[in-house]
Amino acid sequence: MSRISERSRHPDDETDEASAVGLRRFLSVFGVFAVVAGFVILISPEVGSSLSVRYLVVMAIGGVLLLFAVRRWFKRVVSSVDTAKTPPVERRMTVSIPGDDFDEMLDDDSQNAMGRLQMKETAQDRLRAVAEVVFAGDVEDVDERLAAGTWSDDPDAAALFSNGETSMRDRVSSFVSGTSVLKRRVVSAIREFARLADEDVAWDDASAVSEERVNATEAGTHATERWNGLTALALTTVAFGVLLSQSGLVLAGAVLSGLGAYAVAGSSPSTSVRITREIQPADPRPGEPVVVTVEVENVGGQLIPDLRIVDGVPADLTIEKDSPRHGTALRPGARMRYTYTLSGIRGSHTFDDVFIVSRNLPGTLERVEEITAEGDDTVIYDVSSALDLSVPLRKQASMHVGRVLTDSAGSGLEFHSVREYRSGDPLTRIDWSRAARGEGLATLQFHEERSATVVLVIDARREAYVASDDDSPSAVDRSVLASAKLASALLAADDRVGLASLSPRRCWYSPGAGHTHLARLYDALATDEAFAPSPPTLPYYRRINLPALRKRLPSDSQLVVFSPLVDDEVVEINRQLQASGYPITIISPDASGTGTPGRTLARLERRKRLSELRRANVRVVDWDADESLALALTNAGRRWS
Amino acid sequence: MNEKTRPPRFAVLMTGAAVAVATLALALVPLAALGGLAGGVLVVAGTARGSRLVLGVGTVLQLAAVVFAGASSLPPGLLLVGILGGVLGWDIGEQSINATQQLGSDATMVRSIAVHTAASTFVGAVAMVIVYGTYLVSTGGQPLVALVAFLGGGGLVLLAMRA
Repeated sequence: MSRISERSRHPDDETDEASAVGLRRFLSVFGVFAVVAGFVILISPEVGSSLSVRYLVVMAIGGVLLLFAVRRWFKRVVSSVDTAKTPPVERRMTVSIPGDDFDEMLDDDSQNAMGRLQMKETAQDRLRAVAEVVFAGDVEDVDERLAAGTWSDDPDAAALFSNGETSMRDRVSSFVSGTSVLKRRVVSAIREFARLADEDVAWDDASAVSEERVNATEAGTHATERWNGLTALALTTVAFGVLLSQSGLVLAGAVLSGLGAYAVAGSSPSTSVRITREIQPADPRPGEPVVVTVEVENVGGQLIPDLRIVDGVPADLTIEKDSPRHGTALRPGARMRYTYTLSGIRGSHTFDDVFIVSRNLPGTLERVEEITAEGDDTVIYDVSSALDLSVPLRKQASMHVGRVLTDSAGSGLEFHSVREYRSGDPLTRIDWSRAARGEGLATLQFHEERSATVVLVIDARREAYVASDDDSPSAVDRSVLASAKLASALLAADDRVGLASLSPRRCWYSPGAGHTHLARLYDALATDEAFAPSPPTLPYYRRINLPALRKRLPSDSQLVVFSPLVDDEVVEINRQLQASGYPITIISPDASGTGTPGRTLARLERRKRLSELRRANVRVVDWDADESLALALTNAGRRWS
Repeated sequence: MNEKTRPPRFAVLMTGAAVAVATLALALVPLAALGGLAGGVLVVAGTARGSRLVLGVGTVLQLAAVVFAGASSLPPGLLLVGILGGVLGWDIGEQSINATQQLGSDATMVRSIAVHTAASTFVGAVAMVIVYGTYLVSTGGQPLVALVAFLGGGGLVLLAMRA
């Protein structure tokens, strides 16, 4: 309240001051005008004699008004209408596209020499790392080829590594195009690498421009100043009317003054509204659209002529149909409702307060307020989905009977070996045909079928909140949904399943079996804050968080890690875990985008990480965005067996 | 919110109606009517495309045409209609651009724009009727002191207004 009164007092102070100054100016301008008029009459006395002295006063007033009008016009032209900024509720703000930071770095041309040097080194390092995969050669060979500059036909691309002199022509063309020589070289090099790696290089310059973040106006009342030009216009018409003796123009000035009085008299806008929100259904299945109905009622005693409502859509839900914004006018007691449709992928989402802007009838005052809506404010996406998924597991198993074919010999179905009979072996497993040939007793052995202990590890670090474009589900979304499916499939196959997060927000469910355990896992995946739809604020420290996870992992467990593989840290984490004796299968939802040099570089880097992991004997499932998990698993499984 | 600001068609129609009336009122002075037409086209285009700059330039052009017509002795009644039409065109146009900027092109906002249009038109019409009525009733020959008092006082009041 105090802020409102402060703001509204402010303009009055200004007016007092302005009118004091204005009076002095008025008199001084009047004086100048009189002096000029005196000169004119002195030089040509006939002008003076033809004018009556009394009429001169009227002319003087006209001239002064014209001067003031010019001043007001000038003020109007240099100022602009001041209006509230609404929050960008439609934009998803929790995920980024891999490589966009690199694009930003390239576009940042405000750098000094030091910054450019750093940029050059960063770009060279990252590209050299990618080159190892693209050329498929060893390190020295790659360095040699890069330094020699023979790897590419494009002189710009080759020059990035050979440190060639910048020619005069390059400098001139860089000056003309506004693109620095370094940037052009980096971009050409990325393009060459992408071409060698058969990646898409159809870049579109527009998508590289990142959008500015808009901050919504704070609550309070402020003047929009939209009618400021009216005074200037009225003064102009009156002045011209007087100077040209046209009664019509003077009358026009009077009508405009009437409108001006209406604008000044505009009352303070009311914001006494009650807002109720209804969400249908409140616990949708993944991807199912949610219909939100917002009802607004004017509970004050005053007409609200111009009410603008922006519902506080959760940051990571996308608008499917219609708009969460609405403009209306409400009589006292009147109510009105509007609906829009949202969709999300998973997790629990809470609505923010509703942002409203109320303006008075002439639109001169604008009041901004944030109102807590009554009714529903949460959407929780259910993760459960029945699915018949066969998960190719690694051969690390527990002592319990299950369906994983192990290398240890014993009872089972698939033939393993034959060994010498020992007393006590079951009769059914004696190789009778061999005995019949008179070669003595032998016992058949089969691959033992045991159950596996699988811990699903979801990479939910800040870095993992990425998506290939603004509308697709983030890598974490896909990982969480996939792990729900996997958990259900594995538990159905009598394996024991645990759940862990690779995130500063720790989450641990030790391996278990049974329906209750599945329900518990579903619940954790849907609502545990480790897998929340918005990224954690803290960074992940491998030295602190990884030992904590390792301590909890049962020694016979194998890991299924979900990670988009957007940085080298996760590769290192997986290598360490694999080295400590936990066989790893990585399911990597592909979240790399296309269209800009940075994104293409990020895509190439991800390919490099995939091959690094394969080399470290980690099983890798590269899961495309438009591919079903079952298909990705089948394709990957075919390659392993 | 859509990145492009495109006010609803209703708002464009209302703006178009206002500037059309203004332009027609200037028909007796062909040069002014031409200027008014050019300004009017800009006003409508500015509103339709959501550009304050185009709208503003169009409005200034149109009002200049009205002042020119006034200087060329257009009957006061028509002049008042002309100036009111021009101002209303800007008012509706700016209001709808503003609402579209805050609410986006997909949102419904016709109701508030209709209320705003109605209120502005009503106030403008009342002001015009009062002023024009007074003008018709008074038949000239008034003392000059009255004129000076009106103009001087009115000018000061206008200057004191913030809006």
